[in-house]
Amino acid sequence: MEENNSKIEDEVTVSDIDSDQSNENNKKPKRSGFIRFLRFLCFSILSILLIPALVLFFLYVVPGIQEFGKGRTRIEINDSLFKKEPIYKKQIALLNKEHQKVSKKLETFTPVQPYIVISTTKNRFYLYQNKKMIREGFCSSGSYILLLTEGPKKWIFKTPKGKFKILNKTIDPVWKKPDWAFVEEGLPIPSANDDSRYEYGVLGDYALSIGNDYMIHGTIWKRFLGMPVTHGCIRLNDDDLKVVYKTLDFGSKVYIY
Amino acid sequence: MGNNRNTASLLIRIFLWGIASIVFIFLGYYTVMSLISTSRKITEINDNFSYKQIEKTTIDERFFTDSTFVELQKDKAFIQSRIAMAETDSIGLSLNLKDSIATLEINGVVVHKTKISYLRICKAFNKANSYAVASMLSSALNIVKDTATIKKIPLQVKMAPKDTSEFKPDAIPDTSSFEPINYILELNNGIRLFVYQQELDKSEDLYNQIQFDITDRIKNSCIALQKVARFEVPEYRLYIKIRIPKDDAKIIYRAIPRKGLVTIYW
Repeated sequence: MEENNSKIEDEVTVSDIDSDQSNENNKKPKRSGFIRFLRFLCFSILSILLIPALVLFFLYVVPGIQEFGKGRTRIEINDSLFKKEPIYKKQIALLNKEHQKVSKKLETFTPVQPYIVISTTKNRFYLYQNKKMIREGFCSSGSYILLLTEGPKKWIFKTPKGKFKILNKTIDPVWKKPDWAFVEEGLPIPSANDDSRYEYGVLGDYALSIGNDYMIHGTIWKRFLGMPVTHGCIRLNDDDLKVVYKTLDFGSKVYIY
Repeated sequence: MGNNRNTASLLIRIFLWGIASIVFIFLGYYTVMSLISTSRKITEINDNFSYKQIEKTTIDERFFTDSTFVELQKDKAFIQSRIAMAETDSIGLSLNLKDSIATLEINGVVVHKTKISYLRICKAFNKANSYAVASMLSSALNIVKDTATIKKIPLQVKMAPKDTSEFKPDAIPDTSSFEPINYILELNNGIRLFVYQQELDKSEDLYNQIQFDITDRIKNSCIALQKVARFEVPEYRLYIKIRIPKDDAKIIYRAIPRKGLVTIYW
């Protein structure tokens, strides 16, 4: 009986093992497939993340590391003995004197006489007298239009920048129209002193010349003040122009930026 | 079959690990080289501009570590450089980083002033000798190159009409300020001055600024990578970054000539 029983047990065990093995064999490909998929997913995510990580590294991390670290602490000697030495006092006094000298020199660049500052970007003017601003307002400056013709002639309507002087002052100026004024309107260019070149009243009551045919003058196009619409001249409204005309003299400085 | 598979996967693993190792080694090498470039630049500033090289007078060396002396020297140098700039009759930009003020000057006359709302200076300025940095900035610096999001000269091309029938009076110009304004001025001593518009209310402005900044960083990184790949130390470029109101940024950019002058008080 005992022998029989043991045989049966053996059989059961062997058959159980066989069935387990066959089950595992069935599950293995499924599991390994899932693991492979996970691996592939991780690898793909890492690969995708690697590119922005590298970009960040080169663009931000390394420049950041370069800037990392404590800056130099200002070295200040607390050698009170040295500060009391005559050589120290003498050197500092000398430096203070030189400092004052160069400061005065820089100050001399700002004129005491009246001057005008014109911003071509903001289209505003600022009038100064005794180094203080006495009036500000809108103006019009060059339009930055590049006028091309079928021939070689071309004009850029821009206001020159830099330092200029008032070279001439005129009351009731007459505009002698240059060639571009005719080209711009599709008109034939007349001779140099042709009557059609002269226009009255379009420049306002006053004009202040700053050289190279550029002027500060009035306008009949007041609604365009504050805009870049001119052919290079500076246009002001009547009241501002009157004050500017009366304040600025021959040789007064004009700063245009 | 199984053995072959195992060998192949082992080879792939070795290959991938090899590549990863190479990449990491290169990144480490690049970082080290970049750090060397910073310290080299600091040494260069100290060597070229320290008092030993410049001062031929017999000033006691202790002065150059005295803050009162150095501050006075810096003040004087800034004024002297503004005078030098004024004497050129050109329009120049003066940056007072201490008081956070940027001014436009023509012939020594301040024609425009603006407040700097944000300032960032590269660490090399702080790490280098104070006197040496002051000496480096003691003269008017020339702009050698500029990169900007706006045109320097906003030209509009117009063809002349053939006759009066074709003539159309000019329309009112569009003066609305829609362009984002950011630019970099590269100075002759290697300093790069970044000027950013202060206003970032619109998403376009913010996007444009990020794009502008990234483009510059990419350019710089490419140059550095090329150098490092040739086993050379990349060049560390000193920089100053400022933020000012948009209108002022535009005025300054349009006003200063292409090869204009800049003075810096640090």
